[in-house]
Amino acid sequence: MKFKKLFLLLLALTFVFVIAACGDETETEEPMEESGSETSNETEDSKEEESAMEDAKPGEPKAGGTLIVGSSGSPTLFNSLYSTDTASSDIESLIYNGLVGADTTFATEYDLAEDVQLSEDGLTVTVKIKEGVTFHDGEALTADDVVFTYNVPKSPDYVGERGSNFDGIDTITKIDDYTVEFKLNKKDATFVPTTLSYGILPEHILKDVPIAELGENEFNTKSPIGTGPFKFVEWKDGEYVKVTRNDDYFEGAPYLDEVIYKLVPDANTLILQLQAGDIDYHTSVPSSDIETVQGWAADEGVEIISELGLNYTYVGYNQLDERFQDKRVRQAFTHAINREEIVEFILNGRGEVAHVPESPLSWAYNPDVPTFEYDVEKAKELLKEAGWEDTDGDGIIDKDGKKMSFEIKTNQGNKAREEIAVVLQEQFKEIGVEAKPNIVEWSAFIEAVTAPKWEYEVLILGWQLSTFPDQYDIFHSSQQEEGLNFTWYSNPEVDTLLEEAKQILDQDAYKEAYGDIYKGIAEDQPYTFLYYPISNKAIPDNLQNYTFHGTNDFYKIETWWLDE
Amino acid sequence: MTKINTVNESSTEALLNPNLNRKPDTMFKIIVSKFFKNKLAVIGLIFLTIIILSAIFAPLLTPYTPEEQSLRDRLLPPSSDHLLGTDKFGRDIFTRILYGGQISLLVGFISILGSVTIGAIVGSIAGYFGGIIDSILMRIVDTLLAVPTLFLLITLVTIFTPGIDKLIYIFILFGWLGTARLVRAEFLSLRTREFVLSARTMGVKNRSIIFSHILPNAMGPIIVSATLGVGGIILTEAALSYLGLGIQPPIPSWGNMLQDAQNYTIMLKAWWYPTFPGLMILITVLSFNFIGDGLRDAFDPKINE
Amino acid sequence: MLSYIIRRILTAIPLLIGITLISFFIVQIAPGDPTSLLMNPDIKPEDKVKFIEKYGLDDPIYIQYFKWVGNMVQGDFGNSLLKKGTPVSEMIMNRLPNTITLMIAATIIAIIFSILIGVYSATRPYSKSDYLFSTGSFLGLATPNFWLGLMLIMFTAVNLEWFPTGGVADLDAPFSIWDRIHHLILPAFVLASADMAAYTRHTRSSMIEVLNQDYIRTAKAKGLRSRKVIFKHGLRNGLTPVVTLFGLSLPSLVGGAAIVERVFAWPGLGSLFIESSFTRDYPVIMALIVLSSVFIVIGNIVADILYAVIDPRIEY
Repeated sequence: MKFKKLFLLLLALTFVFVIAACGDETETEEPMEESGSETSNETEDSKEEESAMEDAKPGEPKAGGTLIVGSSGSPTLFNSLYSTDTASSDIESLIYNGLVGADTTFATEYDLAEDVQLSEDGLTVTVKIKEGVTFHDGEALTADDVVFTYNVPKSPDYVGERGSNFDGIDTITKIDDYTVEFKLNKKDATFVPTTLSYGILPEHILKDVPIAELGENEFNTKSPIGTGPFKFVEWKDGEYVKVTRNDDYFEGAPYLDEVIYKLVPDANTLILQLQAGDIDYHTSVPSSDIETVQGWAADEGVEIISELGLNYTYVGYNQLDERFQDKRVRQAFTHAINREEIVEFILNGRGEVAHVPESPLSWAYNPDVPTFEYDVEKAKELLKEAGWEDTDGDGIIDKDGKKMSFEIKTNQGNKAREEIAVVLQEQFKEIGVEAKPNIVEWSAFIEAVTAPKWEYEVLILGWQLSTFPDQYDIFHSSQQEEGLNFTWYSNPEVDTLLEEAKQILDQDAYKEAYGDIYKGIAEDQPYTFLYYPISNKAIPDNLQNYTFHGTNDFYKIETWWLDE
Repeated sequence: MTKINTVNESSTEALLNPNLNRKPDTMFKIIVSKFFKNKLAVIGLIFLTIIILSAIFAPLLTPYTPEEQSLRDRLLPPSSDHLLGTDKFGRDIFTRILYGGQISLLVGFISILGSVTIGAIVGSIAGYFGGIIDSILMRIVDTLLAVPTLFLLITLVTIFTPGIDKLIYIFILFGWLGTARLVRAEFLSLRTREFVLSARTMGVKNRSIIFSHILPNAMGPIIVSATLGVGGIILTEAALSYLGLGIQPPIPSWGNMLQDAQNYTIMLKAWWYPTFPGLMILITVLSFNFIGDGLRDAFDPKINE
Repeated sequence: MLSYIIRRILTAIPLLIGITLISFFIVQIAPGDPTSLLMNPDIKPEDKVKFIEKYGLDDPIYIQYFKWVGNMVQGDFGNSLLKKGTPVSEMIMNRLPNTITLMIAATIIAIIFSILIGVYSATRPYSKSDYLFSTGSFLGLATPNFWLGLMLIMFTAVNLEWFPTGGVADLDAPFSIWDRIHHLILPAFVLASADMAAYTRHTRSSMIEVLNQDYIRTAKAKGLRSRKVIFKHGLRNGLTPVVTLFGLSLPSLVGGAAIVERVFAWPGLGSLFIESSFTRDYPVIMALIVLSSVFIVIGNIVADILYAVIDPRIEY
């Protein structure tokens, strides 16, 4: 049984569109609403106060105004059971609600759920739904809608890519109009934060659509209806998606009249549009441009907010290739990579050097691991120890007739990664390793590096982290053949630790278990963890109540308002 | 882009077949002297010669290598150390322009050489034999010509990862069409001429008639279209680079250098970075166009000296 | 004349068949199955099989081809693989008006400029101003249009605020013709810049030729004002090559439009093509190659007919 999607592969249409993008990461996350730990029991009310207080300025919130959001990615359809790209998930987050979401610290918070109860054995999850929530067409949201939504990906007729997220569910039962019971086939800490975060669909509209055709129904593109703060108005392909205020939103009507999601494929044009005031909100200003943007931000009424995003960038070594199977070689490579310099020059200093596969933003972050600092001499020593020396005097180290010469593959369209590949070529040269950048168009790249091909030697990629920390899918050896462990990392001790952690439902114990997992992984260096990038948002300086969220660019948008 | 093709296509109509009655050496002299009277063409030739020579002798002209980085020296303005400044990796832009010129020109020349060869062969066969062979070949040419080249290029390049070799193959694959049409038109008008007919009656082999008798007479338009074509390839590579589909870094080409510099901040704060590769493309393509234009006039007997 | 038109259309039929073959097989040579490129690498294998069956990707190639052509003839280009369920024809119809507008505007700009410059140069051949304009018109041809576009956005749209930075219309303003035109000027100009050079060169040389002809000299000698002579007698003859040229430049106009559309966030077919190539949305790619080629074929037929109409020397 596979429980996937904790760490999420950046199925990244966005990348592809950010062709001329420059600067930092614009990693694509999967269109999953946030997830977090189920131990959080904050109430909605207290949180709303909190976020209101954070940015509170004098003056009463005013209704009205349009917010134009700029995006270089183009959406595909608005139904989280089928879509896989960032632009679509952004818009889905305006139209739909999941049962649960994640707050700014990535703890689970209830969204449509009133309460979530786990049984002793962890195999039964009972969800109480809020009463009085209505869909945009006025129909009330009930347990039937939840049961309907979760039955879609369970159906044998379902044609979509999300099926694996729902494999853990045995049955979904309506207990009463506002209570649903999920029976699971395995104890799984990720079920509540991840699987329960999908947007709930209206049963009364979709019940007669055969599930085989649901993915192609016009509902998804022409008339999506959810319970979210904004109602869908229209999608002009290649131009914009427009949504308008839902006056009956169960958390209170939003202040903004409209949100327009404007599609601008060229990343440079996108910034020029920000400067000219043609867009108001830019969700990922490249780090390389941030200083320039700050130069005119005040004059143009733009405010920049920079914080760590929930992701990291790494160099992965294909351990199917016997040259990379010795951990001393991988450690030596990490020693040879000057990560400080990469952060300073490629990210303009807007990032932090990474040592573990978890973001400092996460509650599970634990940097207490062996580290491999920039040290060329140490790198050479380790390589020598592992038997790699330049025996034929061509400047490239070799062992048993094999040369340490390889291609560093990365996807085109992500400027930071392209630049890292070029910089690594020089840095590896220092230790007698020949590394040639190989920049490949996104879909070809993903096809080459993942199962069942694994056609690469070394790659540069990033993981958009899920809000609930779990490394099983990426580092467990069972995930090599079909999963996301496409570097073929394998360490039986780490495997055991990962399996055990999955059974832990207590947050502190979970964090402790993960401390050991990080140590094991860091020691083995299946990846060189490069950095955690800072994500830069540009918003109108009169936008009040805006809350920065590591994965959700429209967090609590119903509380945002525009001052005069 | 196939911008240039539009210019050379119509050159057929402007070109009567070259002066068959004159002796070749005097004809050549006339063409040369006509060409050198065209100021723009001469300027283009001078610029192009300088560019080609400096690309060939790049290692002698610069102390740096194109890959040599120094992140601490990035985006330096032009100075005595770095004549045209440095790029975002601290690489010397002057050096990269020289080496990038090798790549851009090489891709241009090889692609055109390949296209012209194929185009000349197909065009000669179609034009010489006529009939069904001609119809079939020309239908193929017409069909390919009707498809927007850039669309085909983008599709093919996204399917195959773009290396220099693949890029050249793809350019050749769609580059020969114009030449084929041109050569065919020349052949159609030449094959009924006396000297061809007499060669035939004398039992000269077809291959020999095509290559030693007719083709040399069609050289004028071929050379003109090839000259203009090189500029076209350089521009097309730049357009593909804009989409990230051109020659891949760290190998420098003018196109990918220009694309590298197409960054908001760089354009504002490091003017030298987009300016010089852009200028090189501009000057080189202009030179090819001026030369091509000059050659066309020179080959054209209607235009007086 | 009518029989000429019919003949011209009939010869286009094998061309159209060839075009469908090219569009179809260019996609078939892609390594791997089309689904693997589109999908989440983490998809369940059994779900993948369902996709392949659903889109008929397991049929033999020739059956896929005939199905595709058959549907296309009935106006059905299939559904987008990416925007699941959205018919390709709908995506195209949404964007077609934008591309047509852009191309017509660019052609008009190119023709107006090239006539003005070409005629002016032709009346003063080999003068300083002739050289100046010749060089100037070549500049447009020699400049990569993505670079020109970005520069124009930066200086004329952001700094001088003369034009909007992109798109077809202001999103938070009501529809107005002026607003549309305002958005159209920059991209149309950039797109026109490439063709202008060719048009200008040909207008110039054919005008020189025409102006040297006896009847013009006679007209001038009779004392007719030279401007009148040029426009009344010269232009009509001078324009004929531009019409041919227009047909020939269509493929590059369509291709060039793709780049310009992308730079200016212009929601046309070219930018749709680029997006679809990057995401390997094959039904869209195939449909766009076929449509743009058919458009070019039709454009060429129209140009030929126009040529016949304009040029008094040609009779059919």
